[in-house]
Amino acid sequence: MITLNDVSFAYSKKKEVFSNLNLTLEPGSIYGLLGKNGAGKTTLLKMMCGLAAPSSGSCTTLGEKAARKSPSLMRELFFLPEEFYMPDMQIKKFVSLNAPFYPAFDLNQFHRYLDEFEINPESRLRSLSYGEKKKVMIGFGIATNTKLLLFDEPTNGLDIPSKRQFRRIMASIANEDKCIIISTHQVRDLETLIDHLVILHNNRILLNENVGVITQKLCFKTVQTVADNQGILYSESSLKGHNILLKNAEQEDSQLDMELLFNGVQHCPEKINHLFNLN
Amino acid sequence: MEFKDKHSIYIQIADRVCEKILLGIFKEDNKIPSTREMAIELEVNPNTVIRTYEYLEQKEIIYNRRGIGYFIAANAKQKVMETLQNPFLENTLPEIFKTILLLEIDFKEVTARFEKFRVEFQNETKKDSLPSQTE
Amino acid sequence: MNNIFSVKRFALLVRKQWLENYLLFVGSFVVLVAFDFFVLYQNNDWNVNHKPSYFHFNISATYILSLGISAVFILLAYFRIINTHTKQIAYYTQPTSALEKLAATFLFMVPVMLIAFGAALSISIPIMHSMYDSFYHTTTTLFTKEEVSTMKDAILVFLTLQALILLGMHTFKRYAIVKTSIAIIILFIFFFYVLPGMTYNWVLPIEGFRNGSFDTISYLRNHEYGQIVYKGIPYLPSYLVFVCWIALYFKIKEKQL
Repeated sequence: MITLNDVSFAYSKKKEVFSNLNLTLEPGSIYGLLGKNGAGKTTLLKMMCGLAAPSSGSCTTLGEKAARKSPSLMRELFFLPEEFYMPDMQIKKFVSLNAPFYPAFDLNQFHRYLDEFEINPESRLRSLSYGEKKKVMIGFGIATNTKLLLFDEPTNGLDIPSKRQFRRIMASIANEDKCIIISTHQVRDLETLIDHLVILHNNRILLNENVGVITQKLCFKTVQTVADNQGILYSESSLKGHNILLKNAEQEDSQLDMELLFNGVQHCPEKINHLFNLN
Repeated sequence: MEFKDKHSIYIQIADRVCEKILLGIFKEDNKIPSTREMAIELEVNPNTVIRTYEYLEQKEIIYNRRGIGYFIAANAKQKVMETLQNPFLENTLPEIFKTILLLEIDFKEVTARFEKFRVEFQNETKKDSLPSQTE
Repeated sequence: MNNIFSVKRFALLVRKQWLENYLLFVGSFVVLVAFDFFVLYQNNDWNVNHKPSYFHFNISATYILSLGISAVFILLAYFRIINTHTKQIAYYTQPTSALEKLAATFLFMVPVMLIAFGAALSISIPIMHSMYDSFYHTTTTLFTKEEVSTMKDAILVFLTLQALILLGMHTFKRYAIVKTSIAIIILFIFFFYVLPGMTYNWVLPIEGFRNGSFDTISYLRNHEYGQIVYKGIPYLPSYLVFVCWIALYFKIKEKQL
């Protein structure tokens, strides 16, 4: 669905964001794109929808060169940036102006989402708060029924019930034809939704793996005391004791703790990289 | 739903399904929620629920009727009990025993409370299973 | 699927831009008409004893000023579409081709702007003209042949400026307006001072250009070489307009954010 081949990207000569990046994303998954501030998550999303062209290498989205931004590609993807623009008008009018560009847009579906998010479809966009506007955009984006959804920090600014509603909606639309990519800092909000992790760190991709494979190779535990266990890759203390990340030598089943994994990957990138590249 | 630590989410969902089988909410040869319905209810990725169902199918607790959905297998309750009894007796029960000993609790107290709990629990589950019986 | 130009998508884009901005469009048209009346009224000496022949001059002044104003308004409308990063993201991720975006921009910038401008003048001038004539009991002709030709040139110059500003808006990421203004001033100096100065010895009579204004044109008209150059001059900005719009197409096509 998306193929990045040997992509390099730099905003200026000094500030290189990516070098020789390779990444293939397939439909049927909800990808979680993690990385520290400035790791290039947003740039990567922009590249996938043609708003940033690689300085070398190629980025192909849905079989087309993304940077061309051809209408046949753009109508099959929806990009929701963290900061977005909404003109001041009624939601109804906003939809009537923007929806016709997307052939698979479903108005009933959009109204269902507004209903779920408890937003009055008659309201004016100016009268809505940031979080409400974001919910309108999320609902609109999902109702376009595009094959590719690119969400940059979608849960930022959503209140607690809305985050739940967001997860429910995402669970209801994920299917084998759709590719959903969510960049986020709020891993806890989306931990149960994401089934494939892509971790960006220092110009490269440190981890690109299915959640099932990750839990096969790594084990996440909370223990009282940290012994000098040979398998421990990373540990951090919490109220319950120590959260530890270790090699899954005994094929133990554990729940993936994305925050712990993310911190662990930052802590010892080589070891983890090694673990996932070996077989 | 809040997921507890330790097991991966698909196993935790499987545990929930098993619990519902034991409670009699999911009955033999009855259809269980589709993967999508389950995913929405639990706010998880549908792929995770698919994995759960495949896992349960492998354990012969549920079976798949193509194009219709998943159903509870004929002797599912029996199977669930068999698979869960041993881990409980061998892992969980010793933990409880240990606590009882450490806190020096009289075992008569435990049996009395267990009896009381059993009565309450049976009443509860009867109430719970009523709506599904009328279905 | 047609990825270059689809009438349907173009129509949707025009509809969207119109409905998002029509208040500004209608408002600026009203302002324009009011302005035309104001200038035509204010600048005429309505004292009967003086009987001045201001009117002709005033029509030209109104013409140039309202051309400027309508150009500013229409650029403002376009600026509103792309002036922030978030708006640009919305604009460029829209499923329309670069050519459709360019065509929609052109539609508002040139035909719509000229029609609005022309309409404002054809409302204000005939009314004020008839008032003027009835006040002085005269019959003035509206436009002389020379005036008409100057007006044509003025339109061309404005379209050039407009195309340059649009190109600047798409080229510079920050302080686009400031940078564009500076670029245009440099370009202006180049065309009217440096280029003629450089070519002084072989084609152009530098004396006319040294004035650095459109006065040079009347000088050129009566000059042997100047005649040839003079006929070419109005075409120079028109070439520039084409170049700018073509450049704009590629700017839109290859825009990165």
